[in-house]
Amino acid sequence: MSYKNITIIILLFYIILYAQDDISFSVTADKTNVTLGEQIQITAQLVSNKKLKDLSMPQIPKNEDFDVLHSSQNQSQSTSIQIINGSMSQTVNITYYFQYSIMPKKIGSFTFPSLKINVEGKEYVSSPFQINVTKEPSQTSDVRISLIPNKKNLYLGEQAILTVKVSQKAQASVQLTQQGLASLYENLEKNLSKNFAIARLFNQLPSKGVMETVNGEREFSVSVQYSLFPLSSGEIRIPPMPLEYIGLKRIQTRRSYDFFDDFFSTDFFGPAVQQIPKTAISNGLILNVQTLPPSSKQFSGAVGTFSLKVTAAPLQVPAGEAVTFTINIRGNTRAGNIPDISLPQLTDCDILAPEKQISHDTTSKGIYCSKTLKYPIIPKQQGNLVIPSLSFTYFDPILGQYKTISSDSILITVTQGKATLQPSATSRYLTQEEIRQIGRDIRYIKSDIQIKNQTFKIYKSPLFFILYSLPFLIFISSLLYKLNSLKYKKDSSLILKQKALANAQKNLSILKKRAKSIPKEEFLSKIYNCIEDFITNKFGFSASGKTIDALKEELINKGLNQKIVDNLISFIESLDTYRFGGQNLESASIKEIIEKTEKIIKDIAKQKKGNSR
Amino acid sequence: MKNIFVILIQVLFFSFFVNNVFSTPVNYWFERANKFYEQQQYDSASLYYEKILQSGITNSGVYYNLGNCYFRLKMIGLSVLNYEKALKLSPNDQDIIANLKFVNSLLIDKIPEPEKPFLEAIFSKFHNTIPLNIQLIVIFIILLILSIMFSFFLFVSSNSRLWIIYIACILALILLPFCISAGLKIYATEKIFYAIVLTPSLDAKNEPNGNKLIFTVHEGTKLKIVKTLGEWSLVSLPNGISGWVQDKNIGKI
Repeated sequence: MSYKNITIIILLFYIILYAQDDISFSVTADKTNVTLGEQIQITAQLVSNKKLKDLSMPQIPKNEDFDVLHSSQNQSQSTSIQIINGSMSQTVNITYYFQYSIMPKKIGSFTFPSLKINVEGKEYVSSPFQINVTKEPSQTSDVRISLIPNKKNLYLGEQAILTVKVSQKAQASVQLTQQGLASLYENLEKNLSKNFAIARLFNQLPSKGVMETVNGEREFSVSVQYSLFPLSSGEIRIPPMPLEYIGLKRIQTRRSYDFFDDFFSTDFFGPAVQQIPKTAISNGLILNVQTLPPSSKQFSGAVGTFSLKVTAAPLQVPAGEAVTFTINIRGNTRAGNIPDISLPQLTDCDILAPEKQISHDTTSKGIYCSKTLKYPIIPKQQGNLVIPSLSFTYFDPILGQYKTISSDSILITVTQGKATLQPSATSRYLTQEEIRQIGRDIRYIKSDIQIKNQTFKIYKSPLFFILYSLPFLIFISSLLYKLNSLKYKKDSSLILKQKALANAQKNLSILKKRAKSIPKEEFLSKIYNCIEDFITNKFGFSASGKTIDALKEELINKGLNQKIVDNLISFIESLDTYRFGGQNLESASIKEIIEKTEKIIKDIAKQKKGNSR
Repeated sequence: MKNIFVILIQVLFFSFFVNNVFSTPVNYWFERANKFYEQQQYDSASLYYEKILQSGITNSGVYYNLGNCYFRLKMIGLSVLNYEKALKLSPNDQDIIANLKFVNSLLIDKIPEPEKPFLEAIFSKFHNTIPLNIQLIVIFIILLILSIMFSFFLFVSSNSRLWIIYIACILALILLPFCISAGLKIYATEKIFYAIVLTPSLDAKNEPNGNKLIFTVHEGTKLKIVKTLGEWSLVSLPNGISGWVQDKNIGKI
């Protein structure tokens, strides 16, 4: 092998060596001595001189020593330039961060396992390390959240104050965010509202914190206070609440001895610190809520400490004019817990509906509510009106017993007003003998009643339907009658036709009565006219002046029976023998003629009726 | 002939025997119940009143007395139920109205009814004041007068017709609210059913056997039955909220 070939091989070796990836993988923890409940931030760091694709986050193996609460991934890039003997070289470093928040489960020490990451087919393994977990609180935590109640034992409905204090060490490289604080308060309020009626005192997020010295260390802290009113009794647990904040960490490049590193690691030239999301956990709380002891009937339902103030203005008023009677109750409770106090019955007074005013005072000791009821009272009579004392019973949680506060009675002098009708009725309001309703009860049983079934429903009885159809029947009958009469009016011949028989019979009965008193010729003539009128009305043609044969023919044409026509013709002919033949008409024959006429007419009417059907 | 006579006598005797011995002695039970009530033995009194009702008698007085017994026994739900039944039979009985009002004032649930407009409030007062029977009689009389007037209208002169129209219009205006009120009452009696909560508290669910709670009512609260499905009823409150409850927990009026 020649010298030239050896030189080429060595050069290639160096080229290959230089082209090799420069990758390092390490895992660190922000602290290895913690207290139970405290979180540890684990950071796995992969540094490469080129951009890596398809990089998956290392998985922490499942274990019984700790819980993984949160994990995230980000990356940063740094570039360094070197100029040696006039030749410039540039190095690029890309750092991949894999961050985990873990929380130990038990006291003692455990080994955080080694993490594995696969980079382009090659596996990199970190070293395991030990973490110690103690019971005592760590003095080294940068952010602390404290839930501090003003009392742990309280009564149902009693007000308690809960202070939520977030403290940050002055020298700590951490940053609290408004978003993180808002999330903490939101989670807390959601949790509290299950068992309490809550109100945030001063009702806003703290904008400014305070500096204080705790255990010789300067701390910056923000506080929010809540007013809590327990809604249920028993042991109420408030779990530890998480707060997310940002830990600030200076970025350390691999070439830490480089002069330019320090120079460029300033804010002026870009991000010099790394932001690591962290979580702090508050303490948990247990509150014991007791039920109220058995109460008297007068208990208003209010729990707290209250004051009662009663005033009236003016104290002298003319009858018929209004006095404003004001009741004010103030106590450390919420508005819904103060009931209305109603006035007792006052004789000869109009008490109008009260005007209500509710106001709240928020102090560091909690919420104070004031309820004012203004009753306009209008005395009607002259005299002295005494408004009796009012009392208010509440439960005092400090004393642990029910307490009743009373107002003084108020005397109002009512002078004579414009509308007073009985000016002499002095001292009317001082009368104590008037009948007043003391109590109420149900009325006595019914004992003097007949036990009968009351299932009868009037609107289901047949009588109801019969009676209710009566007006409609009357209406329909009247209408039909009216329509019928209109029809008859329109067709008079029809009336004559229908009344032909009745008219003929009527004429015959008149004739029957007068037969003996009138001459026989006239009688016969009237009989003839009666038959003639009947035929004319019934058949609608004029029978007078017609010959016997013509009449016979006409009647047969009208559909009349031959036999009946023959009877009629023979009867007319027999009448003619009396009228014109000189045959003597005896009184016996008169009756016979009338009866025969009647029979013939009836036969014709019957025959006609039968034909028309 | 002799045999028929003997059978007839036997039938008459038997019918007499049956009527006098086996007929329900409701008046006797009623007196006994009243006696027990006077002696403040309310449970015994309630048993006799129940016995009368079980015999097929439907009487507002018995329901009223039974309501009193249950009130004294502190069974508010049953008390309200019996007062409501009594009121349905005698809507204008002041004793029933007073007792029902009193018992209702002791109930836990105070469900405010939606405020009615002015005209509706007036009509409601009229509707509740005049009993159905009176309304039906008034309607019949007005209809009869109107029909007679109409008959006259057909046959009298045009001057008189104008007067008839005026009077008929006035009568029709009087008739209208009576008809609406009577119609509503009949509809309510036949088609609308109510129930009373009999248990100390009752949860109304979103569906039969449902898990979601819609509302909770307490003993004595009156519910409107919208629909019934097996052992479950869909009930609604005066403010319109509705939910399903089991029939065993309510008493239908």
